[in-house]
Amino acid sequence: MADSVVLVDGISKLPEHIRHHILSFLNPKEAAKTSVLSKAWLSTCRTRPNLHFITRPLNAATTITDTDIDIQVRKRKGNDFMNCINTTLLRYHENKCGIDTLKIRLSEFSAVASDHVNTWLKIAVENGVKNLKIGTNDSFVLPRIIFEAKSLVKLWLGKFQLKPQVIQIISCRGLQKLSLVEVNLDEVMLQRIISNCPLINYLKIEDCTGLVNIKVTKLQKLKELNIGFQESGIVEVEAPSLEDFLYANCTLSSSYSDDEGGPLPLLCWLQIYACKNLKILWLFNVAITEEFLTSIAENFPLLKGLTIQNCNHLQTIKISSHSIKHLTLLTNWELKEVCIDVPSIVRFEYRENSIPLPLFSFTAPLGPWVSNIDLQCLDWDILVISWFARLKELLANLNKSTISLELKFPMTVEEFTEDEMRNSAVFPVPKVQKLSIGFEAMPYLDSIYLVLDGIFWTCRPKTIVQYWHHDSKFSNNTLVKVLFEMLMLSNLKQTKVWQQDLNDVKLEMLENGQRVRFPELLDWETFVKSMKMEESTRSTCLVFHLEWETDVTRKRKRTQLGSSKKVA
Amino acid sequence: MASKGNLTLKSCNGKEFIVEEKVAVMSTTIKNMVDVDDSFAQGVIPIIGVDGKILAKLIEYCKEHAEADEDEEVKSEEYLKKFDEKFVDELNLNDLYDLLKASNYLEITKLLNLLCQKVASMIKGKKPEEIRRIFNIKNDFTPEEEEEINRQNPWAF
Repeated sequence: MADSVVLVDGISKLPEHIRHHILSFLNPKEAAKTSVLSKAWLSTCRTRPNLHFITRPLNAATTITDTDIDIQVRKRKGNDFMNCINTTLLRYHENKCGIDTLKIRLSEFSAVASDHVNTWLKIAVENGVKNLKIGTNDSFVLPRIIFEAKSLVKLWLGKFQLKPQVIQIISCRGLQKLSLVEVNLDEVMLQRIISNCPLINYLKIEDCTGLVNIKVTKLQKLKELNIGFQESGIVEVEAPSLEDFLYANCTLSSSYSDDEGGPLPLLCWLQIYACKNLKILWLFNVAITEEFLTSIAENFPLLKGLTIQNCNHLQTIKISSHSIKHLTLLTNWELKEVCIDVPSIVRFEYRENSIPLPLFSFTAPLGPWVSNIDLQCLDWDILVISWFARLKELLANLNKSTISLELKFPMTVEEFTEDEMRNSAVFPVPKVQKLSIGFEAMPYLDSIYLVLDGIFWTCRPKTIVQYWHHDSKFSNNTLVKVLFEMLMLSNLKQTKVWQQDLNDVKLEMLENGQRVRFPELLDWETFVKSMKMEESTRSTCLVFHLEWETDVTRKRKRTQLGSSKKVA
Repeated sequence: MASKGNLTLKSCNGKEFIVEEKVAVMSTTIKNMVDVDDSFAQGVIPIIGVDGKILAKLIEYCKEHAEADEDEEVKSEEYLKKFDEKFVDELNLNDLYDLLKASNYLEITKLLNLLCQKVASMIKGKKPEEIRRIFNIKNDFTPEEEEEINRQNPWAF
């Protein structure tokens, strides 16, 4: 057997189901392409149990230039595509070929009638489909055979309508994964499905119309729950095995605050209990209470990852947990106080869009954990000084971590004097591993100087990472110029107190993963010239490496100074 | 005769291998045989249609993975990944086909997946002409037929 001639087409002689198995490791497109290899492969492709009919989403660029002819072409293509599904599935039906997976995504140009969809689904169910994913453009009424299909393990429905008679008989008791996206159903129907499919371990309910409240309480095996909700209502969850829970409320009216100040009242509430196994919790725009956060360690003793985003009504966030490793706070409301105690932290992410910054306290051990801070201060009607003072406080609280800091400023800022800054600064100045600065629009030169001055009074960045755009219109290039003059030419005129603390600066360029170091004692014109030589359509990443005077180097300098004095 | 806890596997060309039971039962087929009929556990299990060379390869694979299943600490995932890579890289096409058939017959799912993945990776990103050359597949279509198939392909829309 092993000594057979090498030039034999052995692969085509393998049992068909092995070749089906091989095709299952290719993406649907590449698998379909093997049908042109030979007649044997064509037959393999035409009987394979995984069927994918997915139209490419419309290219945004082509939509703009849509002409009537384009639309005609698309419509024709859409119909061809539909016919292709029809003939393929009818062939499977006639030959009684098993179907494991059927995935259909229709383009908006396929004029599909509900009869077609019903025929496809009927064939799929008769041929033993286990994994069914279908999204249509119209909200067809789902045929009852779907929930009567005993073979179903995974079901993904997009834009269907459920009716009570459709789920009168539910035989898919082996169903493990259920996704309902833009499906129309009511709470009674959802309860009926849940209570008849006890093995569900993954449940997704996204933008479903007709649901006011969602109750997920009977699924003992549920591990992952994903709710995206557009209505205001109550989500009630009780799932002893639940590990991963994402709850996003996308009601637009409540995610932004109105001009009159203060966010609109939120009506999306969460009731969660008996989820002791929860490891990941992600809440977006959900009305949780401050008590919910303070009792997080007690309710979720295994929680590893927590994300709180846009929970706008919270005034204070107090979290204390020994299990949390990843904590993310993304806020854009006027939060007054953040108080966090997380001894096991590995990564802390914080994004704040509003001013003033909240009072901040963070307790965590010294160790290899990181914090990524992204602050946007775009309506600047408070004192800059006090903003920088809060920022410094925040950074000082995180001084046991490796900090990445991203700051965005408005095009104009209020003036302040060095004396004011000095008065507000309390030593030592916090260290920052990586800093990136941006402006919302082309800033005034004065503003750039002021902002940079404020930053260097507030923290000691080890690297500053900025982009250089080869198209010189970008405001970023002006910022780079000021940074360059302030840092690289600082030997010439040390006017600022913080400049005296700066020992050395090196400039590096990162392009295509390559590091190129610029020579020292470079002047601006030579620099710009060398950047022009690198001209490309993309932007280039510039890295300033800053070496600051530390307590150690300061001490050493002092002793050196002392000893040299003695010699003298 | 195999000692207690060991099984004797006999290839179709008469080669015998004594292996630990935990290694042999990586094959669901062998596991079912042993579970159902005790005499297999005592005597010799014939492995129909698999020759000595291929059976040795199968046992080599199962040995590594059986030990790994038992004691995760001894062999890291990374180690096994490297082993798997080396294992499939050293195979010529004929051995690859024979192993595919044997692992399919013996229901060694992990190995079957590994081998199918290997074949898939040889197909991935290549033009039909290249794929035909690699596997010695003869194109038995007329150009018209080939064009027609391309046109009917769901990816054409």
